[in-house]
Amino acid sequence: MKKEENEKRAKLAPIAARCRKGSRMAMAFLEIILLTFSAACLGLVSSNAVIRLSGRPYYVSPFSKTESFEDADVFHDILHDSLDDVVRYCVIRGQMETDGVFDEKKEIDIEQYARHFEEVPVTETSVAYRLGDLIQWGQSRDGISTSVYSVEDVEEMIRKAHGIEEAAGESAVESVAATDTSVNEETVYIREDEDSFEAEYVLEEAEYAPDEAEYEKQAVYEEEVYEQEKEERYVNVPIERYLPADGQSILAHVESPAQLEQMVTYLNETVYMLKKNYISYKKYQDMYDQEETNFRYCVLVEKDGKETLYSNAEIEGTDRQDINGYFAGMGKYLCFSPSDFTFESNTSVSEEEVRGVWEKYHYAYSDDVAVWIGVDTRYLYEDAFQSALESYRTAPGYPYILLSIISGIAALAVLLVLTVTAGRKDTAGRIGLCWFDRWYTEISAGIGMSVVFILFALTFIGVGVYRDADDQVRMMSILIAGSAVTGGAALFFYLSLVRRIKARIFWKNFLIYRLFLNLKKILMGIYDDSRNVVRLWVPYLIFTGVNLLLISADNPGGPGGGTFAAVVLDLCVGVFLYRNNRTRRNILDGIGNIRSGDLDYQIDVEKMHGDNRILAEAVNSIGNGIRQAVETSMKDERMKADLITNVSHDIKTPLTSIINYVDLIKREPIDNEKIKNYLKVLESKSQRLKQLTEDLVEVSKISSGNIELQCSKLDLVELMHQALGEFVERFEEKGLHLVVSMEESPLLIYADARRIWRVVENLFQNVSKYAMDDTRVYVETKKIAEESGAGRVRLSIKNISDQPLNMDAEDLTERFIRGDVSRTTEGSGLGLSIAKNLTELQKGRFEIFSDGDLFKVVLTFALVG
Amino acid sequence: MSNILVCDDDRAIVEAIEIYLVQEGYQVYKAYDGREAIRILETQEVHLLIIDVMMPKLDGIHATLKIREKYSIPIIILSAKSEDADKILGLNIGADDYVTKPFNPLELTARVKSHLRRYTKLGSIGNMEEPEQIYRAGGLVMNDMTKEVTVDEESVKLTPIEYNILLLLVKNQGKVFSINQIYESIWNEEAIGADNTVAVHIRHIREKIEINPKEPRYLKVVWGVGYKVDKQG
Repeated sequence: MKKEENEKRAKLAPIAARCRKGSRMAMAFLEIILLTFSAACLGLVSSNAVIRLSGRPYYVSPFSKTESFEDADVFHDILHDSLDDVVRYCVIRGQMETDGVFDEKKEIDIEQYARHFEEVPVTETSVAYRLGDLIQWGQSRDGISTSVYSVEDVEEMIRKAHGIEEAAGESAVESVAATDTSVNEETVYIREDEDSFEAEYVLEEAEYAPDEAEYEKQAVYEEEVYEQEKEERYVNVPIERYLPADGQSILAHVESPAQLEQMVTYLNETVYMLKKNYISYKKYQDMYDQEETNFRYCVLVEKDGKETLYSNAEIEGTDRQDINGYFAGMGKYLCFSPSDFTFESNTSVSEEEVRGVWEKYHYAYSDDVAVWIGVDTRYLYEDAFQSALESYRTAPGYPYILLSIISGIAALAVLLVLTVTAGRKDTAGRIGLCWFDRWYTEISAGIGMSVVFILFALTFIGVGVYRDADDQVRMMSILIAGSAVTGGAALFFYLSLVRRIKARIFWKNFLIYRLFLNLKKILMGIYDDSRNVVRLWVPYLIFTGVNLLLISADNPGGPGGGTFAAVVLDLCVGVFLYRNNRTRRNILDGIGNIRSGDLDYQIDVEKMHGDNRILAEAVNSIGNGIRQAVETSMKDERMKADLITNVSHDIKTPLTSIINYVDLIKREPIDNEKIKNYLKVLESKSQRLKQLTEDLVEVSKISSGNIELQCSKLDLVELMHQALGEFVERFEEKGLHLVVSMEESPLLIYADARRIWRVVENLFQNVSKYAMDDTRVYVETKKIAEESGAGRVRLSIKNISDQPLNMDAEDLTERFIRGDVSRTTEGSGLGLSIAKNLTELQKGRFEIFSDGDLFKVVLTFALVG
Repeated sequence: MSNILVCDDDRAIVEAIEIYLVQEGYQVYKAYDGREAIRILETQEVHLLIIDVMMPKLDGIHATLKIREKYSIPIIILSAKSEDADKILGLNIGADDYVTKPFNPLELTARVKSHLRRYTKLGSIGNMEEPEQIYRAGGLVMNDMTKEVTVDEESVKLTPIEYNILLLLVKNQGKVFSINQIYESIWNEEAIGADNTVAVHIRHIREKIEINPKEPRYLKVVWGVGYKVDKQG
């Protein structure tokens, strides 16, 4: 039953997962819709919160709907801007109007005008132009165009201009004489002229006519320019499209080329500023016309007892009481007079703000100024106030904000659900990951953030562009599309993040984390070695630190106490290190001694400390251990040898009897041939037994090292002769033919005479026993010079074996020990083994070669002087 | 005839020795431990003692020491111990000879004879005026006048070359002669590429004068150096 249930569940699990996934997709879709809706509502509110009035944006807070329009920020902002405008307008009006009317004939002294920001205007040379001319000049495409002349030419031209002036300038001087006095006194010429500004273009045409002469002049100049090109210094001479107000060239007003250049600069500035001001003037003239605005202003300037009134209000005269009365009657008004600190207002514009505006234009006004502004709150005219009021009333406010907030909350709720359910694959709580989730965390975070940011920025820019263009439909569609895409992308990355955290791979997938893991491995490696690190690095760092501290604590001038202390410290540490090193050297020597075989060596640990002491004690105990092991093994060997010796003694006693009684039987007269043969066997076997026991004792003594050598210098050649003398007859009996090859005597070697005789005896015995009858035996001694320079002597004995050599050369010396090869009947088989061991005890080399039936023994000894 | 005391804990050996010695005409006393040997020595006249080392009650070494306190008779130690150290020890505590088991009966009887001869002649030899051309080395006597050689008063036949070689060595007792030196002084010609001639002669001499040529008493081989005749006490 249970099994079936499980199977069922297993079958259903993927379907459930798919359903879950489907519902999650739907939820995500819903989330995006909610987000987009929220964004759209906010967009709608915010797009309506900014209104554009006469080119300026104003912010209408959707939260200020409860206030009256006049208390709203937007009203305050407009009023403030209007005040600013009006103050500036009046400055420009002062520059351009005569008695409230634009006066193009007004003469303007360019130097004064250009320098009118300066506190104390200085007038050195007065060149006055007509206002109309200057504006025209500014509006022409190139402004003031100039030609280049050499200094000399300009000087000549100036001289010429003055001369011409003297000769033909009489009437011109007269015509301006009336106003000449005021030229020096005032910055702005005020000339009474009937011409309205509208007639300007007509005037312009008219003024071009008298300039033909100028063009001719100019042509002449230009020719001169060509001629004078090679001159080094040049001066810019203006091409005089317009002559100064007195009708004479500007050249006639200056004394030097330098002054001319100065004047040209002034002229440029004046023309530029006037052009700008004129544009503003025209704009303000329209904007603040009585019929165009609900805004009323009145600026009363009193200068030199003369009062000038600039106003768009329906008032006559300059009586302040009248003006006050008029403005008080308006819905909102403000009255300000900087000279007597009067500030009166029922608006939200503060005195500071007004003063702030005033500071900007302060230069243009004398102290005695009074400003009134007011707004007709009936809003009879279509203007900024009226349209602001309109926007203010119609702008979508709370309902949309509320909608936005609600959908935002809903989106949050859905997001919460999505967060909780994200990645849930099955009921077991496993987390499903998509391909993206397995990317490195930083990389995906970077991608996510940049994608979202780019989408957001694109949306933002698009919305901004179309909002500025007041295309609300496009703006909203971009906003909706943008928020949907951005929101979708953000949601995707967010859910990926959630899944990562849930699957516990968020940190693990960090590229830095991976790098950190590797680093950690290395650090852990160091940490595992922490005893060393702590022992070495901590004292080292402390030492270095103290050193640095001491030295840096010193006075900067010359070595002082700190450096001295550091030197003392260094010396102490140096001595400590030296002692430590010396101790270690002792230990190393001890190890060397033990290695070279001096097992009794003990390192003196009395004066050692720390690691060195531990090390030394360890070495000592290792040495002791080895010594004990060696002693034990030596003792064992000796015991073995003793055992063999003692056993052999015990064997020898009965053997003695056997041999003796065999001998006694032999002496008896025996007729039976059989018994005689039996006796022979007994005799030979008892002799063999005797030989065996003797050899056995010897072998055990040699192999246990229980043998004392009595070495002396002896002549190997002599020895060989002696040995041959002992054996030659035995060889001859067997028909062995000796072939002897000897070096010149003596060949001195250092050996134990009796032992080396034993070696040679054994070898010759072997030959006499095992060599094939009637063969040759080769005996040879030969000196070998080794590369190291030390001489060696080689003794070789070769013979042909009677029996086949059925074993390896090595085995011949070991066969008794190994006991795995059948033994020949003659000899104990220990002869070669004894010979080899004795040779090696005497520092000789013993080698056996067998090749077929050829048997060869080679002994090598070191030659001595 | 001489009385010989044989002391060994192995009765078979004692009896075997007895048989050999009786055949040679000696009277034999038998003992089976050290104490017994001393007891017999105290009661009987004994001219020579053959004693084993490893015995119950009192071993050969201690017995020899005790005996030497009172007696100057020749003592031959007969032991299974064949190491140099044992031999040296035995000879140092006063034994005159050291024979290892298993022994050659002929060698043993020869040694017994030799020691007895020396022991019984000791007094008279010491007092004799030595003729000019008689050379002695222990039991070896060379009469250069008659060209006679005797070992323990037994005549030995040597060839002229053998005689000359032995005479050279006996005249210069204690000195080691190399093969070349011997050759040059005997043959009176330079030794060019020495061969085994001298060594063979020496071997022959040894076989003639020594009881056991492998353990010579007079003509000794100094392996790798030469030959010599030791100065005898």
